[in-house]
Amino acid sequence: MSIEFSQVSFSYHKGTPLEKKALRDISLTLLPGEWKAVVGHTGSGKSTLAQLCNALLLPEGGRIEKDSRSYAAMDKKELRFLRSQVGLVFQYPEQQFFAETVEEEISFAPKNWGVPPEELPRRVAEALEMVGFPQELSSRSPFALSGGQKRRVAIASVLAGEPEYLVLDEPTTGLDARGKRELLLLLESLRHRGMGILHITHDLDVALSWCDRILVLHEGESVARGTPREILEHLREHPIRGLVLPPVAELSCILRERGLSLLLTNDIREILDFFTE
Amino acid sequence: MKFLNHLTLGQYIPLDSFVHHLDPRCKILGVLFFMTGAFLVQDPRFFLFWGGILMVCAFLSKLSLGILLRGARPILILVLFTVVLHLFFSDGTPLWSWGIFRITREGIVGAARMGIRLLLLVIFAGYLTLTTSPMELADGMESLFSPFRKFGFPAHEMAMMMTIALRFIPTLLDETDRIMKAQLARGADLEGGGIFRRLRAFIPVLVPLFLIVFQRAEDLAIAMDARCYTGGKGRTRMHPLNWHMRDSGALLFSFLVLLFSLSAERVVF
Amino acid sequence: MCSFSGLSFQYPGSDTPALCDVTLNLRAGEWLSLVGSNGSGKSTLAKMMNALLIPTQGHSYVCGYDSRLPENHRAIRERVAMVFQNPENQIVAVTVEEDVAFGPENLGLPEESLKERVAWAIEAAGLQGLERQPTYALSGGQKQRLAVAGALALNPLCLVLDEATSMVDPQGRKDLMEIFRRLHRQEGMTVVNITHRLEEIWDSERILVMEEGRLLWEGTPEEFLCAPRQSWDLPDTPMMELVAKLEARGVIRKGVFPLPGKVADALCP
Repeated sequence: MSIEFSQVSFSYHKGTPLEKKALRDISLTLLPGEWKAVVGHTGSGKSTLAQLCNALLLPEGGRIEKDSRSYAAMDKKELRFLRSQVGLVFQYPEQQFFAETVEEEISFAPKNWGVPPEELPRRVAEALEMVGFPQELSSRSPFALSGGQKRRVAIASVLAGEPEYLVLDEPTTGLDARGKRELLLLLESLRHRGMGILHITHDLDVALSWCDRILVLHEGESVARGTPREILEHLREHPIRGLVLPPVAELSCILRERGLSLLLTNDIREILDFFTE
Repeated sequence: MKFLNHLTLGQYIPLDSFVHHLDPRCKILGVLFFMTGAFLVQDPRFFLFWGGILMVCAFLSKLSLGILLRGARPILILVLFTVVLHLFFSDGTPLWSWGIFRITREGIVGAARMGIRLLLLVIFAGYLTLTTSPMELADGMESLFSPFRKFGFPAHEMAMMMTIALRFIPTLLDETDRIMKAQLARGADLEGGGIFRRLRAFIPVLVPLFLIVFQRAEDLAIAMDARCYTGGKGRTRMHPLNWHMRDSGALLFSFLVLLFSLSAERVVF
Repeated sequence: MCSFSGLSFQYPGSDTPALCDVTLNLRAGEWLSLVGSNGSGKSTLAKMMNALLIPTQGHSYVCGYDSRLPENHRAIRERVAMVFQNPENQIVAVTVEEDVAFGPENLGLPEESLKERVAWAIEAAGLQGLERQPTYALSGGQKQRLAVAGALALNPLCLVLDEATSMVDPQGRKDLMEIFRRLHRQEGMTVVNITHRLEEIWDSERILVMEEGRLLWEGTPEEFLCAPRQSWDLPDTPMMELVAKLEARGVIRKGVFPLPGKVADALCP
């Protein structure tokens, strides 16, 4: 049970003078219950990666498989089913709203996947519960909600398809600090429910603090992978232009350079604990 | 979808040529003269003359004839359709017939004439956009229409709208692509079904787009206010249009071409 | 620079006032941070500074001009320029150079001054070499810098940033903050930064906290560390606790907050 990328490459405008290689030889595995981050600056190929996950784009080189079935071998019906199993949340997902009520907006996906009408209210209710959105507001217009609420409804509209995996492209941009924290807690709860999460972001702070494993992309190539601590060690030796170390991590790096024997970390508690010994 | 950016914005090929440096007003009027002359072509054999004019145009703009002719590509189907219609359905002395189809001498002449007219029209229009940047075109139109402001014609506003629209076309295309993909990811079927079904299926793409556009209009208006925009009155330009001798010369040339094409046909043919 | 007293404002059609009895004196050359949750009125207050909004009650003077008089608005907006949140919805022109020129063109400046202003603004925003680039092809950070250049081209005394960094990636944010710092330091620019990113307040000399349309608290960044923040509607700030504790233990210098990329500056030797 996994999604597997093997040596995947992708170019835009192939064969024209504008040809641009967005991804080169990318390999990654996503397992259920895993929260994996793909980190890179804008233009590093992150959005392309997101769209490859649910076959909105197909790789020009390499192979993508779900449960050992290659995307390239799937027919139209299988691809549709794939999209219901691998939910994709775009950046600023609230921009995709078009319905008159929250309920209608969230029913859109399951309806498209062929869920019978009697089943829809249950799917909507469950999706709203998963994102922590009050059921009483489900007849409100999605446009009349606050920023954080909109974001949650947008994610619920993808969750209503009951996917096994969730791919999110910059899910926290545009949210204030509170909204961001609530969203990350939501993702953590989804992870505990067994959902595999691919979190694509330029925010290294979030990746280091919340994710199990990180893959760093730079100009379409993978340059580092591992646990947050391993990534910090790597970035200390090989800083990457465009990737800004969050202050806590940078602090731990500098303290280490000064000779203090603390583990590199982005966790404030760990630094505080070190000093309260 | 991204390639369309280059189609719309990139009809313009920036080069350092005589024609590129001409005042856009001169080019707009000049091309209009050419188009008028081309549209009034009577005898298809006159296309030799117009072929010559096109070669002069290509030479003076440092663009290859091929690029100029490529401007006709979008309407080739229309031209083909018209030509076929004239060819097989005209009245006159029949040379060959089969059922309702008949080829007449008049038909051949008519088909060639219509074909050449349409092609020349589109090629000259394309020539204008190949050698003039969108901004210049907007400035040129604004200037040409400004005498009509006395009668209430909003020349400046029209030019401003044109520029803003041009500026946002690539952005909107990207956003359309993104929204379509977002809805596809939620299982929307944007391809199958009859015309009504497809229109309905596009509502989840059109509604968000409309909203983005309206929000954009509001934000942009506020931003323009903040930058002291109060309409066209009192506005100066960093690159103002300057009319030179060469513009007069080029305009005169195109006018003479028009006159020649109107009268010479009668004389020669 | 700005003098507000007893300022109140209600959006038409809303039942609660957006601003309630706000009194504020903005000093020339200072860097003020305005923080508060969404709906606290910070954006509304900012728009008072360049007369995009005028108070329904109270007095508002910007650089000595009464902002309630429409004839003063142009003079005010020449002196107080604003950069908004969405980089995309501030850009009107097709190329970088043309967009930066938009503001000064609205002011009716002569060609020479226009070119000077545009060149200076482009350099100040770090966009040299991109003058002829089409605006749609810029990255998010570059677009926002373009918006800054457009504001700078008005030659303002004060720059108001309405959540200008919130839609930009970390590197872009870093670049922008550097530009603001430089302008503040070298040109004596007054900076008003409305933000929900608490790490941005450390560049400022004064912080204003707003809640539900009222000024809740005012003080320096150091005072902010010790202020009773828990009761406010602001995000929790574990980073600040860390800084406070490390300061107490002599690891971090007093009064210097570790910013991304500049952590070393904050450490004691």
